[in-house]
Amino acid sequence: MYDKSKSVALANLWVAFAAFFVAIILGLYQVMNRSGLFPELESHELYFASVSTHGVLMGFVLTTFFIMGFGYYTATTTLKRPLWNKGLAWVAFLVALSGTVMAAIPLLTGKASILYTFYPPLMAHPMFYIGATLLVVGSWIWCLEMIMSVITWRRDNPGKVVPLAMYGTTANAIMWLWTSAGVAIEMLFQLIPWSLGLMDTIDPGLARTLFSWTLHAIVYFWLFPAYIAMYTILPKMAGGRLFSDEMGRVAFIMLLVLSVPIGFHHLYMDPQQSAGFKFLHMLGTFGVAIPTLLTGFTVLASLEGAGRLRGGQGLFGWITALNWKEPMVVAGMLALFMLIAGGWGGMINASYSMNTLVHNTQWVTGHFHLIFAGTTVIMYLAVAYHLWPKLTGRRLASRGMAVFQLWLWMIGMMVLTMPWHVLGLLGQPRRISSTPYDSPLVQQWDPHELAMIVGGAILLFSALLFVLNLLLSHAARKLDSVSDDDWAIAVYPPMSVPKSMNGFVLWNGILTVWMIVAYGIPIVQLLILDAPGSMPWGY
Amino acid sequence: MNTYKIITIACVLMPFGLAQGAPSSNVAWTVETHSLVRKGDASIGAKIETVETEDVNACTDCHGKGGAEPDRDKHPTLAGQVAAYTFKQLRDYKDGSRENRRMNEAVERLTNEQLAALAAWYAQQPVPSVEVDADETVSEETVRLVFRGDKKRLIQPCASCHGRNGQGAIIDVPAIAGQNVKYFVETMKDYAGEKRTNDIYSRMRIIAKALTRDEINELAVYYARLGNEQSDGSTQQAAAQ
Amino acid sequence: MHIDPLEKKWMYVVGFMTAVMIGSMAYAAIMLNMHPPSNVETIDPKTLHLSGEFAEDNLGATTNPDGSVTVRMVAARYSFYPQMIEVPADTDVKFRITSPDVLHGVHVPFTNMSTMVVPGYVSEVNTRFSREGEAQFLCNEYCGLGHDYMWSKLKVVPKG
Repeated sequence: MYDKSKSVALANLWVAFAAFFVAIILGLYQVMNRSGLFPELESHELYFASVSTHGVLMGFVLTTFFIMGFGYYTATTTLKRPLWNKGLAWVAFLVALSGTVMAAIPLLTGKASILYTFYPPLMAHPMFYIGATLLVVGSWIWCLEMIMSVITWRRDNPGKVVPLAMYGTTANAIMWLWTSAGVAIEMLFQLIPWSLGLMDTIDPGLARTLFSWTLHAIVYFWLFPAYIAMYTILPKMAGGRLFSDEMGRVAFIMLLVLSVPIGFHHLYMDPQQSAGFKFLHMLGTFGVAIPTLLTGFTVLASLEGAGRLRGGQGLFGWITALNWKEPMVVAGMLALFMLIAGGWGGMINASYSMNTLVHNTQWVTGHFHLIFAGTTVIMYLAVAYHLWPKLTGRRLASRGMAVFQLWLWMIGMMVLTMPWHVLGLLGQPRRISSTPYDSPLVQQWDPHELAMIVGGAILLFSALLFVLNLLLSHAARKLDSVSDDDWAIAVYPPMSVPKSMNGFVLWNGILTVWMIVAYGIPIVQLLILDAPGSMPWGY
Repeated sequence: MNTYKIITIACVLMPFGLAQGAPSSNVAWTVETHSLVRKGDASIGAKIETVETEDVNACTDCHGKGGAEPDRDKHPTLAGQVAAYTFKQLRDYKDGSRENRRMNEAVERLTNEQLAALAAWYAQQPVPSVEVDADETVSEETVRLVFRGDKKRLIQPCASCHGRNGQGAIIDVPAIAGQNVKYFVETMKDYAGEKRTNDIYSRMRIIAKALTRDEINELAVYYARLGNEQSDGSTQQAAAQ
Repeated sequence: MHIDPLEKKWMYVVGFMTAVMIGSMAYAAIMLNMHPPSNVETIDPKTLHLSGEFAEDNLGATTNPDGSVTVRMVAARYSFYPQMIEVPADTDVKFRITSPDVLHGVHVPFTNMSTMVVPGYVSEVNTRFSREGEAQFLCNEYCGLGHDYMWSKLKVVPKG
């Protein structure tokens, strides 16, 4: 037996889900505010402080800590050895946690109501920027852990194939290092000195460009673990095998290379970048849909195999034959369903000139809640249910409640996000707390505004059940034994794979060149352009 | 040198711009102007406000010590006002962008640094209590104007720029809580009648023209009372530095 | 490397779909000249009103010699100035807009008029309005606690 570092994994996961729960409550406050049913609650100060905190907690805290915790469990149990440096894992945790607390204080006291995208020249208290940077630095230490775990394992196991789950986790770590560089540069060279008064002005165009470097690929940083679970946990829990290990690797490689150099689709409507580079990024953006489409096939094929093994007949009989009592199966199917809906929305956003119609409308809010809060987070919840018994040594308090909670999550998410998509098409701006426009559109929007609160209430209830389940599990009956080998096996487990699919040297090389073209050149152009900077502004 | 720089740039660029008149105010928040205001020495400002010459009154004669006790309430209280705003008004008086004979003369011979010093001095003062007739009522509709504006007339809420507590905001949005009722009303009348024109892009003029006389009267009472509620001797300086 | 034949077929389908999507975007961009607003031009946000193109007297709609209209607007908390813009229908309109303070976004629902407004840069949108009547410019990027209230009016009048 070897040290699986379960306590550091559990610590990270608890911070993730505590943040998740606080953020959900804030989300409910926001939809209550928007519904118009609670005029006494309405307050712009509270609303925007809430949106900012909600966004940071969901987008930066829940995700980063979950990914770190899941990563530690994956690294130890797939490679069957202790972490490269357990002490460092705790350091990473503490650095990230202190950063989180440091950023939370100004957020919760209304001193950082600049949303989770923190675009200047709106300026927050410097503690917010410094705290957020520390959170990212903590995650870098985790990246180092993951990469070193694989490097040392390969050194000790020459010629062997890196287990798929670890290959994916390492791809994610490398991708995160690549993409977080953008926001790190923005923080270290712009936001922190500027908020401390060391720089008088800031170029918002450069800041947005640097943030876009991180902004797209960060959603793939979040999505990677969901895909890893779909490839390497779901097939086994469904009672089958993974349809193709190699295609999994192909998907992970494509995600690594294609996620990062495409951030300009967040800047389509911006005046600081030219059409040529926006077009280049558009090509890559459509490219990154490919690994998702491939994943859809491989995962569905794996599930179909499992369903037919259980006796499912006919074109769709395998669906009903699946084990719908297993939380991972439920989450996987619901995640794929939401991925299809949200993914098509994403194609519209990616569409260069068509983006005009949806940019910065409520459509965008609908899209990312569906794809992130829906597809990605539902898989996080399922992974939590899967890992809890392994990490605590006790049975999950209630599988039935878990399954029910997951269905509620999907239903709540559809109720919440579908009206948002419609509102966006009807022209409603995003990031508003009310709709005081003298326009006939407002009446058209009203019924959809009301729908928000229904979705929010369902999601709060669902989140409550989730956290309750995890809490109760800590006091549940101890298990006699716990398996740390519940990783899926491929139909054809590869005896060997090409070097390019067992490592990342080639892909890092390609990405380096692509990044120099896609981001290096535009950033240098901006530095030469040297736009007159902006003074700090409050809100 | 900063003044000359601004005016020179304006004069040089103006012929190259398309047909246009003079800007409503020559004050622009460049790094230099901002720095000038931030470095304003309040202790110097304290001395300047009492200086009287044979042509010009001391500031205290009309505005009271620390700008807290104007002799008539159609003179504004200056105590606790956002420094950048005070500086801009003084500068505008000096440039003639804002017209008032007494004020134009009062600041004629002051340098930018002295104006900044005065602004810093006043900013440090606590907002004083102002006189408000107890019988004056503020209707619910007026309070709604403060926090929700009026979409039919495209009037934004006062609070959205001036702050929830009327305390002003970065960069030069003035504090309006605790201002004299009569001065508040006169100012809005001046904006509405285009007698005061130093608000850039006419943003206050547009709003003042859209408000009714009754609304302006009630808003004046609302903000005077708001200042009284908040003034507890502590500094009311807004977030601007 | 072993790839299941069915998966290989799917890869072709995916490739085809991707090609169609990229192809339509490329066609629209190259042949129909449809691009998101991408004029790169800098301006000093701190001295906007003093002189130059966005001085107070310059704002609004002007008709150019060739019949097209240029509209100059300033996005400043919390409105778009001038607050009423009138343009003729079925005419080429060029919007030029910038901000002296923070990030804004502006769009007129159901039209192509949509752009980010980034202080330090001048945004330019070229479009035509075919529907006559009243519409609104709405701010769609968070610009402070008054963001909800930031909007202004557009009137599209019959041509000529």
